[in-house]
Amino acid sequence: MHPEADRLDDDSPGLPRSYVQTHNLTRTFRRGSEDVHALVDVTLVIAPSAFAVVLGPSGSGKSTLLNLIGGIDRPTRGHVRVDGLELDSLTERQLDGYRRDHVGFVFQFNNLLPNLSALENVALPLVAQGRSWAQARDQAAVELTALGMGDRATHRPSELSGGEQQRVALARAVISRPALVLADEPTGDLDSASAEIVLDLMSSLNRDLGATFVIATHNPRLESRATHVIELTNGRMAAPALRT
Amino acid sequence: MIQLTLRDLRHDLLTFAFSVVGIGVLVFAFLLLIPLSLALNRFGEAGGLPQNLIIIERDVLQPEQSRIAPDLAQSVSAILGDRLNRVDPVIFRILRVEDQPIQLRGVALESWETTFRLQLIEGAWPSDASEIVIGQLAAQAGGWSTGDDLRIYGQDFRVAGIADGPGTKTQTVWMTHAAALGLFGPERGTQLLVAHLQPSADPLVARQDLENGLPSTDGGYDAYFEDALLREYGAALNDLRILSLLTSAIAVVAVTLGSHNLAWLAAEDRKRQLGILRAVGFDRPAVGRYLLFRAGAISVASYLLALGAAILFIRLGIGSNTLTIGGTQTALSLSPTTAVVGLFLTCAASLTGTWLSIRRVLSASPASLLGRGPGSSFA
Repeated sequence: MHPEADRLDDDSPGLPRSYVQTHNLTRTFRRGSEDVHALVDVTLVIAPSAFAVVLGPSGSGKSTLLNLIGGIDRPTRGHVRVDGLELDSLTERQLDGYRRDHVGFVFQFNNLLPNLSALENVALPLVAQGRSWAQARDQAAVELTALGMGDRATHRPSELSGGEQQRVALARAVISRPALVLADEPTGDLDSASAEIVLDLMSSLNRDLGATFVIATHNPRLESRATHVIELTNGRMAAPALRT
Repeated sequence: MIQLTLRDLRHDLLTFAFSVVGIGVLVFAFLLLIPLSLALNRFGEAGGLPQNLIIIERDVLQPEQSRIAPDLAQSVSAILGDRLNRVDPVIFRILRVEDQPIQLRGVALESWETTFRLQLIEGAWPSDASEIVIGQLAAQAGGWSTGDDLRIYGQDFRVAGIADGPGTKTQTVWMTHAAALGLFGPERGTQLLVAHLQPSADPLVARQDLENGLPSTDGGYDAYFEDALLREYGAALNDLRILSLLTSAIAVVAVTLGSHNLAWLAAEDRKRQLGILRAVGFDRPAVGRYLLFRAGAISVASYLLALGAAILFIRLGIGSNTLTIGGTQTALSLSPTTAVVGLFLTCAASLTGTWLSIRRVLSASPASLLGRGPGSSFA
């Protein structure tokens, strides 16, 4: 991660090759008559296949940063580039395609559609890509089995524990083999044993699939697994740390 | 998205059922009100006999309220001359016979087959003043048959036969003019004159001559073709018909608003789910299709439920598909055209209501659908 990177045109010589790159990324929300600065001038670089952890207390801008990198929100100012795509210049339709083809999401809670089974939830990204439900379900079964959830495939989310739900969400996030997986407090609602299982799975998927993982958390224990650590306080970056 | 919609509905059957019933009630009202309007419209279109002119007291709405001067038949004969076949005074009453609304007509027996073109279906014509003939619809409604005794206005009459005539839409009892005069007394006299023209006579000219030539004493008289009288009689129901059509339109608007509210609630309830769908790669049109398919499925199910209920109600609730107004029957039926129009309007209203309600959800960013970030609008 290199906060001093001041442009997005090319990777600078001597710096690690970037997969995610932001420059002066700022997001301001309007709440009533007041402006809330959720993210202020965040400039960073995350290398391909990194296991990056965004640390910070609640309200520090972690989720906002993930939203902007994931293309589910747009910056007020600044730029985001992922895999060479300038997200802020993409149309809505292009952003839809970007999320569909490049990104997998894991949220903190209520990750899954309650009316669909675990298998159907996992199949969704493939259906979004145009695959038939039958094909998508077959692939989803393989994915769930790989994550140790094969016997829970027909269960609905309300019939699964928190840890199981997050494993299903993880399966859904990686089923289309995205190059970028964004996880927002993926262990926030889990007990420590379940959290460890989910984190182990994420680490192994990061190794096995080569996908870049960016994980927002307020849990400093995750720092030990990270190749990159980004600390946010009140929407601003603290001192960077790079472990490669 | 169809499969996603079906899975969603299947897993949420209770909400789906309540939505279907909620919309279905409105569609049911629409499917009943339109046939009612059409039936009321048809009420004034009874087929008449072009060679029969009915002379009735001017501005009288109910024929039984009309009173004809005793010497008017002579005036009619004098005006029409050899164009007239015969003129008959008619005693007309609407009354209840054994709980059935009945139009009673007292006319000279010799006119029944000529002027009024009655045809015997069973039995015989009356042989004396104690016998009557009943119309086919009255026989069906009252369950009466030849040989039965009917108590009419406190006096017993024997059914000599059952008859039918062209354009007959009323539950009718026929008795001779003398029998009717004996039954009701001379005070209210005759209500109508029916002038039966020669086939060679021009009915329009004859009618004009009657209107110009009839005396204008006691408020004057009107001359109608038989069907025109029925039409005028039916015009009294015009307000009811308009009200029925208006209520039908309100039902359609209510379907739109109901669908709007249902879709709005569904979208609000599923905001996070819609956000997840957007996040995992479904674009706006796909999410829009999901919500519209859902509304479409609810509206089609509502329509089928309402159609079935309306058919059952018309067949079982009203019985024999007939609606009786003042002793006159008119068909209450759900035609294929009404059914198709109902389906179209239900779907159109439902999809319009849904579209109006989901525009905001569709234009929202996935982040705001997921409820993420401290605010909801870009600074």
